[in-house]
Amino acid sequence: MANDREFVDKSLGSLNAPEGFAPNAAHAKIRLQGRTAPRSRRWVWAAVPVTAVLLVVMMSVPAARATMGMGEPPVSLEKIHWMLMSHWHSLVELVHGPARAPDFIAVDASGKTVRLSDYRGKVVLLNFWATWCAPCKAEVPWFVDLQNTYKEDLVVLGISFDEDGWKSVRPFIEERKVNYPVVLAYPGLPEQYRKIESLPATLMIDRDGRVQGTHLGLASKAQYDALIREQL
Amino acid sequence: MNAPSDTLGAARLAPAASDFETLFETHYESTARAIARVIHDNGRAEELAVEAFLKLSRNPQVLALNGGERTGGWLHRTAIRLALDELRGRARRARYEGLLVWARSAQPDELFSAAQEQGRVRAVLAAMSPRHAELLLLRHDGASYEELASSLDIHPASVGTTLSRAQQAFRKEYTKRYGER
Repeated sequence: MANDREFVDKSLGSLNAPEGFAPNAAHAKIRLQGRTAPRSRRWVWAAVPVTAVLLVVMMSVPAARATMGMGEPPVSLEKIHWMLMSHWHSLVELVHGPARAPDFIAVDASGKTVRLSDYRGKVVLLNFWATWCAPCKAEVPWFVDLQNTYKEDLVVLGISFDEDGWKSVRPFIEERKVNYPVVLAYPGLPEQYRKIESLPATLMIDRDGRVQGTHLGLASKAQYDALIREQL
Repeated sequence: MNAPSDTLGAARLAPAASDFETLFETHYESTARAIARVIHDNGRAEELAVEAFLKLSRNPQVLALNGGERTGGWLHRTAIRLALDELRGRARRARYEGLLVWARSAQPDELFSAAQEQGRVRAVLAAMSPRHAELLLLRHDGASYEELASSLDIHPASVGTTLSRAQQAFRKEYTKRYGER
């Protein structure tokens, strides 16, 4: 039996970085420059609605209103609760900036592993689609063109919701000469992206992996082009 | 002389900005790789590597060492600490999410990782005392007893004993979780 030192050496020796890991110093430099720049004062702006909400809540508590000699509250606590829940994500985004896109790992048509976080440093256009969805199919040639135009800085990533998987998807992407990775949605993935309620749906993810915009339904090629250029 | 405004870390490091850039060029890749080896996440490894350099840019004492090798050692230690913090954070989140297991399905990489030796080793490192885990990783990466003593702020004479305890603790935790190998 190996002694403790050999046991630890063997265990730690098994650790390695993911295959094909190539740190990108140029992108890291840009991020570092962003971090050393003066800090954003977004929290100051966030304090305004938060204070307003707190005031409204206080004014709606019957006990507080009675102390101040005021009558019944014009807005019920239930309504305030509903309003807070409706706008909670907007408030969080105001303070913390856009949410990070949930990471996922899947396999493309060639069997290559695709992981969303591997594309950090590039702009990602994440498109949820299916071969049975006519508007989704209309967008595919645009994405092929956009991928060609911005090949250095953009990755279009397709996530197919076809129930029969590669049987429908593979012939389609071969016929349309799709030049970007396409993976299949798997159980659990749609729940990670809660805003995706219909197809097509497209997320614009910036170089730091944050969702800068979500578009549900068909958009024009020019719209996508403009959104991409905003992030470059 | 002031460094150009677009130079890395210029706001804080005006006199030594070019040294900082040289350090960045020299050590960025090895720092990112050291982190990726521990956490097995390319994107996050690069973020944490940037974090390590940010700490360096805010630490004039280390920059004043002005020796590539010594600063490289500091960066490596910082990288290992950040990676271990990340591992522990993930383990903590996994425990909380375990309480809500009905609300989420396991992701494929989690299932894959748990079945692999690497995933087990990472889980053990995350569960150990931070000092022991750091000691083992730094020693495995070739740090000398003197470097370990300075890194963990202990007497050089007691490094051997501490290391031996850390090795025992690692094996004990591994065996408790997964049985003898």
